[in-house]
Amino acid sequence: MGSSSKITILPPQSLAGPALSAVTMVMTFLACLALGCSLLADRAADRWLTRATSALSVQIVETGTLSAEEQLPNVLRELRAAPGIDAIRVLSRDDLVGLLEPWLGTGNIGEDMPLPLLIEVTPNADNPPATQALSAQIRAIAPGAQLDTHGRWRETLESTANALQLFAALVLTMVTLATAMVILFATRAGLLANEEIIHVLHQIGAQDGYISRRFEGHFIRRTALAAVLGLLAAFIFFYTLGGLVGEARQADFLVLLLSMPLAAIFLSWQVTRRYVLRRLRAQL
Amino acid sequence: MIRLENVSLRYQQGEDVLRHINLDIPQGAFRFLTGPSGAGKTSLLKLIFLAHAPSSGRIYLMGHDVSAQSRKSRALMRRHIGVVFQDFRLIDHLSVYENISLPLRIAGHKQSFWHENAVELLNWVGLGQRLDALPETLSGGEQQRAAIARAVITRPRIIIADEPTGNVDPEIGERLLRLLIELNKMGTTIVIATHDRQLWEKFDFPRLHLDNGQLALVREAV
Repeated sequence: MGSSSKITILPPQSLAGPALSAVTMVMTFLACLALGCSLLADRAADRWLTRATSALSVQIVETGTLSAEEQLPNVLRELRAAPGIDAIRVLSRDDLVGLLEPWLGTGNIGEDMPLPLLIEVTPNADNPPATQALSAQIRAIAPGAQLDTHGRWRETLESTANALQLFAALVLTMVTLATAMVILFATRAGLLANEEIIHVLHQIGAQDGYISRRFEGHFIRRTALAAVLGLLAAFIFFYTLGGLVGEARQADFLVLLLSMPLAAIFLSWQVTRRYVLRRLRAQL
Repeated sequence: MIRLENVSLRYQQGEDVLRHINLDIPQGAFRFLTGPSGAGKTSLLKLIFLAHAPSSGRIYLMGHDVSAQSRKSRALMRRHIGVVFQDFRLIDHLSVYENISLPLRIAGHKQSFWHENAVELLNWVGLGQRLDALPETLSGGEQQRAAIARAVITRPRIIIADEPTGNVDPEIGERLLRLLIELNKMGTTIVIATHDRQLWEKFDFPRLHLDNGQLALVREAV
């Protein structure tokens, strides 16, 4: 005898099935992709920016009257006297050749090729120097010297990272809206398909919340299953990507992706509940 | 128990289906509601079992002004009103047992309670051997009895039946009515809409006649 305490009051075949699951799975995958790529880009930008702000350099070129070597002692004296600098290192010609070789090719830099002098300056992390004032002081004593704070590169990096975050936010918004619409239409179709059952339930004393929970239960189960599959697909994608970007395989990164299926389930629950209750309240 | 004061009903922009209906049915009463097709019998029953709201006038059920009740309270009031629809309205994919026990499950009763009540009731209406059957496998009479069992399982104070004998042969119709009379003897107020002359002539209960949206008491209670 069917005395089970659980019965499925709304026939599952009357409610959206595989199509809704497929869309939800794809949407969750896309959401994971958007979030994951944004996180990876953000972390990479942070790392690069930290490196960029933790290094300054002074480049000295010869002027019409002074050679680079003649300007060097004054620049070094100024740097040593400036507050907020932890270390100074003058790069050797071999170091410079090593830096240029990736662009000019090995063996293409001859002994006679004029190269600027380069000083690597390590600022104090807690109390960095005032770069604008330091730059002006160096220019005043060595006209061929230029302090490089990597500002332009940093700005480009920052704006690129911001653009990526904005793009990811837009993708997430669109995915959320599309998923909400799909669930909404599925719920509406489910309400229409089960109109008579709903009428009977009302008549035998069911409250709106009871009826709504039948729909919520169905759509939450569907969404949860599809969202987990979408998450698994995203895990596979990022694990594969991990060959290029090691961070994509790290547990703390992958754990963050769990927020997407949870968000999908929450969205499904809220959209279904609000829509069903609104429609039921429109009835007597 | 059931009181209607100057109640009218119209659907959207149409004409009045019911006009200035005044009705007072005391607790434990048994009434036939008769009238030609389209007279508004089903509309009047829908007002009583809270499936519609009147366009004007007031409805009092079990001492409460229905229009003053919250949506939640009206849902709770419906648990005291058993409805037997002409087309039975059993849920097709649920077994007879599940259909019958549904009102008690919805009301939040324990499994042991609804199980015991459902089995007892199904035995009472002669469906004790058909607990697992789906409604579509039942005959018209069996479906009718299952619908009655579902309507009475919460021990409602009012039972409304809309043409309960319309889809069954006269013998089953009569048995069904005797079942309702038994419930009435236990204090349940019963209103049956029917156009079956033989039925109201055979059973000597007061009859309310509805014609062209207006109500008249044809035979007083003895």
